[in-house]
Amino acid sequence: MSCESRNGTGCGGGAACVRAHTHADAAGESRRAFLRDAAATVVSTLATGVTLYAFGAAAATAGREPSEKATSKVRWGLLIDASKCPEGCSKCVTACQVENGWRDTGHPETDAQWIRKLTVRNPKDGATFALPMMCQHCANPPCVDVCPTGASFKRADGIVLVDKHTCIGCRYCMMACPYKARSFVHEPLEGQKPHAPRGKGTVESCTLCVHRVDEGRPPACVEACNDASRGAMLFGDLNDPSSEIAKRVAAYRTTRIRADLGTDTGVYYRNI
Amino acid sequence: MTALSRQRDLTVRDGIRTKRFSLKGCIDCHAVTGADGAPVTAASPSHFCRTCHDYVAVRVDCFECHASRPETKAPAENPPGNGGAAFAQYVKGVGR
Repeated sequence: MSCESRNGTGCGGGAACVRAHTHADAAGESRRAFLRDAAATVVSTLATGVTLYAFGAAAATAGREPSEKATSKVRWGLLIDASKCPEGCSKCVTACQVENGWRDTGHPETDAQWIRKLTVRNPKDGATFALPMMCQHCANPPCVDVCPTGASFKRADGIVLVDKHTCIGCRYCMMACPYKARSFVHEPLEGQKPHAPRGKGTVESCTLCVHRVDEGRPPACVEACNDASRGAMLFGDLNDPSSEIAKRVAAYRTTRIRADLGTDTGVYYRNI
Repeated sequence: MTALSRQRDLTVRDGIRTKRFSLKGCIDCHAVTGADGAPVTAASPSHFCRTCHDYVAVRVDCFECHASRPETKAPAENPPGNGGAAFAQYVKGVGR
């Protein structure tokens, strides 16, 4: 597979190239067989008129007081249905830019990209599909492993963040990330959003809109996708079996990008 | 300063977002308005942080990353989205 980013710069392949792998181990196979049977019934009951719209029951129950710490009882995640994500739509990218205050400045090599739309093409048959790619919020994040100062960290609820107070801008995390999810700020900035501090000399990436999540609101990309009636993105608590996202992840065959690396990402894809 | 750093870590790392732990909370209340009636940024010597920091000749670098004035909503940039309605629909969707 080869991929092109939104601004036309190819990834060039190699170890860092983002490739989709499905689970292929023996346990995965038996689980898949089970899901095939389960899916047959679930699809027939769910397929009529149900879109990826629900926020998940977690929203009501996982909401915590502003004075409470984030808890590991919750694992925030995303389920993205590539079949509902048309090429050419970049509403999620625009929403992220407006929400968090990053933008293209005409320098695609160095501009920040918290989320990008990728078009993935199979060179053998030319089949393409599109998907949004952002920080995958790994349970075993390589960026956290390599960070020499502890600035890159995983919050208790699974959101991977950069503590820019501690970040020295060494960019090891950018090299370690298999998803090319992180960006470095090269230029002095002005007019940052109060809820999304960003500054020269630090690394940044998708925060899963942590400021919104802490208020009990979904990330901006998910909201924009649903407002555009695409319904390709679903946000919720993967740890809560009654949440919409956990039900769907259990019911459908999903793919996690580069699952072979064992990063245990919090972002699941369907139909890729 | 130690107390501020502690509060900072509680917010960034643990997600505690009460006003007590919020730089945004400081800025929202202490904002100084300039001649044009809009809150001044840290570039202005009358900014509430700078009045003391300038006196003791200490440079504030918080505002290289943080916004130094309350958010002014530009109508074009922040369209009156139906965030509230969308969220209500999310929650409603759970019952389906």
